[in-house]
Amino acid sequence: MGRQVCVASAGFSEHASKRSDVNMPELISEAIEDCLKKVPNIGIDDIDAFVNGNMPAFEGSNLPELWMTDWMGARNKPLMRVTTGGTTGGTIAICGYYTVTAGLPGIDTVLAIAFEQQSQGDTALGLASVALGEITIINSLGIPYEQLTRLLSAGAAIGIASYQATNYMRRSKITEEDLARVVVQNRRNAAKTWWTHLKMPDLTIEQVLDTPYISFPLRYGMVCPASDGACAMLFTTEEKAKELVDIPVYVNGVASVAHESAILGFDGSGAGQLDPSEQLEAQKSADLAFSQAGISFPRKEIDYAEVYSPFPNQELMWVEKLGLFETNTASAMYETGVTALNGELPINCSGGVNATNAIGASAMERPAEAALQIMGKAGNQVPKTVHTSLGHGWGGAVNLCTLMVMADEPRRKFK
Amino acid sequence: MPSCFPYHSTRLYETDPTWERPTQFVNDITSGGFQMRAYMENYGVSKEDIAKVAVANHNNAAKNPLALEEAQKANLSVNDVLESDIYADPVTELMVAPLGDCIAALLLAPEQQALKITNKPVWITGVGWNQETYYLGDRDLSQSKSMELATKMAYNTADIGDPKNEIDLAEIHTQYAHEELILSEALGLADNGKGNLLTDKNCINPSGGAFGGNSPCATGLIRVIEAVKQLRGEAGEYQVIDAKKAVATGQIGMCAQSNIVWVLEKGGA
Repeated sequence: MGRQVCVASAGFSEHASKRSDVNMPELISEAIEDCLKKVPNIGIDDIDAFVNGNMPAFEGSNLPELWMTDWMGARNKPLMRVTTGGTTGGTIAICGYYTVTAGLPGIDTVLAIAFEQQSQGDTALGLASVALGEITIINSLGIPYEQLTRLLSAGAAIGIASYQATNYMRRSKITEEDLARVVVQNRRNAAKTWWTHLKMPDLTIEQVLDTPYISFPLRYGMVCPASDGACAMLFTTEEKAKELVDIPVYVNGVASVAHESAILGFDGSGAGQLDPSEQLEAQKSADLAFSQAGISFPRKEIDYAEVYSPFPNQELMWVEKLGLFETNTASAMYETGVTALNGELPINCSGGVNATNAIGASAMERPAEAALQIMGKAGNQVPKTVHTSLGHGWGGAVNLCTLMVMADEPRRKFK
Repeated sequence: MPSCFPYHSTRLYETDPTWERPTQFVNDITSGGFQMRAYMENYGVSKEDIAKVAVANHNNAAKNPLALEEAQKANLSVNDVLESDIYADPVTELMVAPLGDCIAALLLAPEQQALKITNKPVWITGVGWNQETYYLGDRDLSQSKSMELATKMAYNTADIGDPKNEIDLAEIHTQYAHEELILSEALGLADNGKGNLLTDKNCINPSGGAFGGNSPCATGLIRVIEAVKQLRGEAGEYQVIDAKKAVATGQIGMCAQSNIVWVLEKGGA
């Protein structure tokens, strides 16, 4: 094991559907500024290395970190780009952690930056090359591949999420109303967080159920928006973090696990025989990260969770798969207020991905918010003291999961 | 050519979208020409010296069974290189690493496990990575600042003080022949402007380097693997005698804006 790593700060840019007032470098510099503002004793010159990434070419820019170098302050400094689809942000955070924990000489403080400016490109087209629903079946109905990619019902994220949602609904016997309840909680929470996109303080379940279907059971009102935004996290050593902030957040466990592609069944990418609501990779990554962090009973030991859920059924799935609730009980927890801001285990108090989705940044905004909740600096701070939290990311072809488990004290083996 | 995507149009999307992409004058092809011209004029190096590098790489590729078939040119002459079509003046077609499809993989393990797996381990003693500013006008193209800084970082960990004597061979990711000179100088293997003195020693890119097939995202890893083959004594016809320490590099960006260096050392008996 390498050095103990801490999160010293995290920052966001303002998110919106079209941030046409800024370009990509200006967008990320907003997040960097917000991140460094919280640690007054550190400047951009004190950063030893950078990690950066977004979805590959969604904005029509290939390797944008090359021409952004100077805007990030990364000139003549080590910089690494990582991009892993939906989990990009989570992978960047983990890469930031690895860069510090490796203990290379002269590299103590690392700035990890994730961003997406979807208004500059065509997200649905980009996603169509990644995520496509039951290709082989639709092909066998006589719809050629070229036309298929233009059909929302087959392509992009909703095409695959609807299969996942119906499978989960069948297993857990939940209704559309249960899905809408998750959406309402998220968007009301988002209204209390400054940087989020869809702020709906007065949203009701009826209003959500009154919107048309995009692909059963997912309605227009249940689906995440496409946002422009950026997120930055500052990773450093335990010693430096103690100097910089009152409550350093210790990164005690990280995991990034892939499973067989659950849905595609096209072009050799997976058998297409798996239940997309099974998500073995979430269970495996939870096992891995919790064992590193010395957490035996996540249900009791985790105080706060940010999970990656563009669609409400996923939020219910993840909290179960990550071991926070018993199988098929998640929707009851939302109904009884366990997951609310003042509940026992608050989930996604920033509004989550369901309210703000700047794709490349989304999976980093989860650990970033989870860290800020421990520090007591979150926009929508939970009233209880948060000792242990987790940030989760999800993506790939419905088969990739990243996880970062954080606490206000070092992991047990370091004590 | 990589078979499933148009390489140069993809690389055009690497350029600044506001100023450079619309005009397309500055791109990965023309920047190669700027870089070679800057190097030649700054150090008084001739086209022939750079053509010799291309010849050496193609000759080496002929000994490497994994190199692209069209890159295996055992009988290439300096004149052939100089008289091939202009790519981006003064770079000619045969001074460019030919594109190809490739997959590479590497197995890493911590020290104790590695010794259980193999009796010929190769230790990674240093890594360094760095990137310089994007705008070509802000850079001295006859040198590589990012490679110098990455090298400093890697040599610091690997405890290498005198690279000219300590490093036995280098596998360098080059897009063009002249980059082999610029980057080997930045690696401290030769004085500035004197990189061509290494060409005849055959210690740079003995496998043919990226001239044996440049599949952009895999080329850096292939360099690491070729260096590992040398250190394990498995390089066959292009084996460097008594190789103990090697460097391998990867790059991306116009004029090698971003560079990565690995320092590798022979382990085992």
